[in-house]
Amino acid sequence: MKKKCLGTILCMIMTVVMLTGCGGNESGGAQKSAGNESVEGAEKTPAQEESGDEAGQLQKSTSEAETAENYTIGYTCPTLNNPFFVGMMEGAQKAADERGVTLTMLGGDNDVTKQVQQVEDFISQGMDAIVIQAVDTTGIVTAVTQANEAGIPVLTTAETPTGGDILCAISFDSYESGFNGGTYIAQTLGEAGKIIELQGVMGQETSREKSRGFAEAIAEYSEMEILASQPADYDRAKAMSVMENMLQTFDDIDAVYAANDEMALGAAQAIEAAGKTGEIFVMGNDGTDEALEAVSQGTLGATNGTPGYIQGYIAVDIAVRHLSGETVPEVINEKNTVIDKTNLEQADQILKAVSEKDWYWLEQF
Amino acid sequence: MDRRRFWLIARKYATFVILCIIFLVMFFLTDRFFTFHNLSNVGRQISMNAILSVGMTMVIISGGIDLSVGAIVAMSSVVCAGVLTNTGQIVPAVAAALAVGLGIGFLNGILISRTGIAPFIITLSSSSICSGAVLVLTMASPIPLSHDGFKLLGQGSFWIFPYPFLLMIVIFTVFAYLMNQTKFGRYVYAIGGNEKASVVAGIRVVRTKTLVYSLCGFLASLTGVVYTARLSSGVPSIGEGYEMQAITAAVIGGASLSGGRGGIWGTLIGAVIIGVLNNALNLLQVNSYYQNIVTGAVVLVAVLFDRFIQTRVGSEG
Amino acid sequence: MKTRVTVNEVKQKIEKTGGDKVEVLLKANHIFKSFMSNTVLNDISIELHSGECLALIGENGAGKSTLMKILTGIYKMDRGEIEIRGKQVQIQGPIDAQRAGIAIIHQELNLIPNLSVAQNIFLGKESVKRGHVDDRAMAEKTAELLDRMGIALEPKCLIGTLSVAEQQIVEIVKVLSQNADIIIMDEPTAALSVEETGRLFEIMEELRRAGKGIIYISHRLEEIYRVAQRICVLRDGKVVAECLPEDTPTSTVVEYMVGQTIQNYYPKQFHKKGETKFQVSGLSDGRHFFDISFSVREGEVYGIAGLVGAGQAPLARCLYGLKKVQKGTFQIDGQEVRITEPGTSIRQGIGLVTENRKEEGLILPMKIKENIGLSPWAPVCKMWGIISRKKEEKIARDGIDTYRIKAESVFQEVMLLSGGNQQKVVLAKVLSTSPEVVILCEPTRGVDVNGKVDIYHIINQLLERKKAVILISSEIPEIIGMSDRIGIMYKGRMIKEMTNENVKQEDIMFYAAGGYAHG
Repeated sequence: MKKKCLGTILCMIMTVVMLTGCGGNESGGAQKSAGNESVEGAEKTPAQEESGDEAGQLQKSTSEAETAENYTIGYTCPTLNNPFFVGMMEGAQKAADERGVTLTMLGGDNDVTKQVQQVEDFISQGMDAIVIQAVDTTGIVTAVTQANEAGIPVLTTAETPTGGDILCAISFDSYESGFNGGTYIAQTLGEAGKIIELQGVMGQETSREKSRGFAEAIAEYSEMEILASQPADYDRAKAMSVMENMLQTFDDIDAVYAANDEMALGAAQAIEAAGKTGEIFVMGNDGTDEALEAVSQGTLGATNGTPGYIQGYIAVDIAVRHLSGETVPEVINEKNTVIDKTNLEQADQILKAVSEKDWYWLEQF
Repeated sequence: MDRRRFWLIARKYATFVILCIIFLVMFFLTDRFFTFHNLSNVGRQISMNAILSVGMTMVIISGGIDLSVGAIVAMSSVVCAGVLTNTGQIVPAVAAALAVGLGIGFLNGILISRTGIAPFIITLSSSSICSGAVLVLTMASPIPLSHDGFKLLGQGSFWIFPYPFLLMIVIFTVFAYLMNQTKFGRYVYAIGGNEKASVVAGIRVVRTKTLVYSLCGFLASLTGVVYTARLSSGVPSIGEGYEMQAITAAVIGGASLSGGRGGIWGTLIGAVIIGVLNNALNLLQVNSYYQNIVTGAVVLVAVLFDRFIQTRVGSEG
Repeated sequence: MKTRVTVNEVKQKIEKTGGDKVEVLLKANHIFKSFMSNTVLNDISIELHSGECLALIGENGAGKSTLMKILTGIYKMDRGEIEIRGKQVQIQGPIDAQRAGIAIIHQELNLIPNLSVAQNIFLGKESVKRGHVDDRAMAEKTAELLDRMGIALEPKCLIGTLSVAEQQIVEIVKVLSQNADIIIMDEPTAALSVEETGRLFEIMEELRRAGKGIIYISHRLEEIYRVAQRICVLRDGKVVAECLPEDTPTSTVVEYMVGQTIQNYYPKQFHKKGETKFQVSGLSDGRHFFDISFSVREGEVYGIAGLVGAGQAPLARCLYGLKKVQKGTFQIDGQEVRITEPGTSIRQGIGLVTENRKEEGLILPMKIKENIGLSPWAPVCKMWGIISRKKEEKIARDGIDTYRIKAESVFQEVMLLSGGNQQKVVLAKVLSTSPEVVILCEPTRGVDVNGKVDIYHIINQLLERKKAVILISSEIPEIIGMSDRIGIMYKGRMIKEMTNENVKQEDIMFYAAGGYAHG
């Protein structure tokens, strides 16, 4: 009997150790880089500095990688189970790999309190820099102040928190994005038409701002009309059923504007099922791979390229620049470019800024 | 007999042992865990879910479930922030928020105990109604606060203890006393253990159940107030899924979803396990995706371990 | 006195009573089983022949249930072997047992209330036609089965709408439909009326003639003498005696069971009767009982007898305020009182011991002390509803001493107690509020011999303290043994009241079965 008990306890210990170990070392997807040094990496003894240097040299694939120290960066974003943020993770990871820094990226389950906890944990961990994309810009301020007090630089992507000291805000203006989208649709439709808007998550700031921008753009055209604005939680399945309902309700729909590509693809699917592909112009946001594919096939009309990939890449790039002593600007404005059939060829360049010559943000220094 | 006693003791401390194991593992894996700063962090982080879980534990012990606590957290958060913005006074703001929670809990309780409709259904509906009402009230935008005194409630510390942590300790002491040392607590266990027998024993089941749900709503709104202070804003989007975390804490702590079993202190350990685990996984830089797997696995192990011991203790001859 | 019976004797006997060729159906050899360090079965060997009804008796905790659970694959034995028709079998789970032809009718009903009779009987082996469950075919087969046994039940009836007795019959039919050769019956008559019991015994006789073997577990010795060919007595996990009923008087069997001689089975004491304590007149709930009037005096036991379903149980519930009456009045000490809910009746000094202790009596996962001090009127509080540990433990300890509850301590969970001790905890709980009128509903159901006598002693204690007791029981000997006056119910009406002087069982049976109606 005792043996059994001991066995159970051992099993439990092993489960915990195995799972944490496996997460820490292999960490598929999220943090391919520097996994081996992740735990000791934070300590900067001269010996390790050397080895870190070696590791860095091995990973130096571009000329930019010149950091001798093994920096750690914590990155929290609203969620990690959405292609936009997966793209962001990939971009951030790419930047981290190229520069030989350790990146920990966490998703906050669309809950600002969870993000606050994650930032607190980053501080405990002694991260060298923290990047935040907040679910809610007022709620996150607590976390930013705490990081400030701990002397850790904070960078933000997308909306800027309403308080606290931000080293650099890689700002993406949701309002402007919505406005651009609205304008683009209005012009495509010839300044007259009826539109359905699919919003993101109710009560979430990005969605709210994007929606506001969109509405104001449309309001400038007297012939344009928003038939309905419905939230579909950035979710493809939800968007599909919302769109199905819309198709039932309205006979005459000219265009659909979705706050992200996932919803746009969902709506496109519903339209396809109703046999109306081509009749209704669908526009998404973000420029995910799948959306680009859909644009080339014609199921999507256009997508407003505000890629997560480049956001993540810029954030890490700037963080590393700051840590290596460079002065960085307080605000970097991210471009958003509408991608449709006409510029599909250059999409990769626009969205991923793969080569150094495309690093447009350096102009803003 | 000796063996059974051994397992009885084991059952009592099983979750505690699991918690110790997590601590031990953390001790060997990172030196970032046992720092003053981190522990105070964890203390602050667990306190909200822990307070929420106290109410949930009572409801679960009484044989019910309350799925509306998450929505009540959001509701009380925006009510508190709204009143505070308008009056600039802490007392009426907190009082209004708590009254809202108490009221919703009371309605839940009355409906459940009088109609006999499953608590799952009633609270699911009230949850939906509440979260809808929150969006209507706020038009889905957060209410920022700039009240320094109120902020302190969520972010300040007394000596080395964060205020929410102290509040949590007070709440647990009070409710543990209530559940273990008073007739009311006894009735809650009795109703969950055997409602019919409780009626026969002369217990006012309707009244007791109503009180249980009211208290649960009250604690949920208290949690909402603390969150509001911590975030320095009334956030309509918080609260989603909190009920599940509270249920998890209660269940890890030994509460049985069929009622009659569980304990306030057990729930505390459950909440601490969840909080420490989240913190630990972040410190160990475990990928978000794996975190879910680990959390699920630990919950499963805890519950299986409890069941394993249960079979050693019970079912004789 | 012989304590072992030879195989030949048994065979002769079975053949005499109409069995065919006798073979050994089941043989269990040297079975051991312990839980933790507690040995429950200590080298038990039993044998069952075809066409035989073997009565297995013993006090609660003697190991009967455990042995049966091993035979039906719910528990695994530690050591020993089981042979079916001379072939050794391994019973690892319930499915193995079913395959070996062993079926059990449980003490607790295992039916699903919201399924029909037919659906319950065919649960897990539904007739399927073209991929969907063929309810009609099942109903037809069920009707046939019921018909063959002369039972008037509608196959499409929902189980939940049936009485306990009817459910029990369905349970039996269910087992019989599995074509098992070895049928274990665990207290099957506990909830059956005399008439239904008679029907069950007829069915058993038929099964026996068909060459099936029956293991019959019961506390009711008279029944055992009626149906069993052989009696096997268990005590403390051992077979202490095996005997033939016709050679062995009841008292001897009881001695084997308890290991000592019981002087007086019904230790009734008579006390001076006081004033009329509790009186009801013209009570009627419009469904189960009509126009009931009776009174109880201080220091008196008023027994209410009747067949199962004659309305006693609903009457008890109404007397305690668990159900509302339609008409009628209650008087306590000559003053009219209103009884609307248990709370008010407890305050008026009425206490009820319900007939089903697990469903309505106890909070099983709670400790003994918590159960005993549960009632809002139990004096365990300091102030403002704060429980005083001292007071609570004292009341519980007093209960354990006064009512002779066998428990490790007041902190033990009642779940782990035996049936008799659980019942005593229920009594202690009800009496903790010091009621003046105590209603006992089937207080000794499922309680072993020693426990029964203890409970009768508790009744005596109550009389000593000038309490009025209402005893409702379907065991007529108990009514005769313990009551001062007896009321007999038939179809919801109190058709006869008699003083308990030289009353014989037949007298009560006569009225309980509605005899007066036929002259």
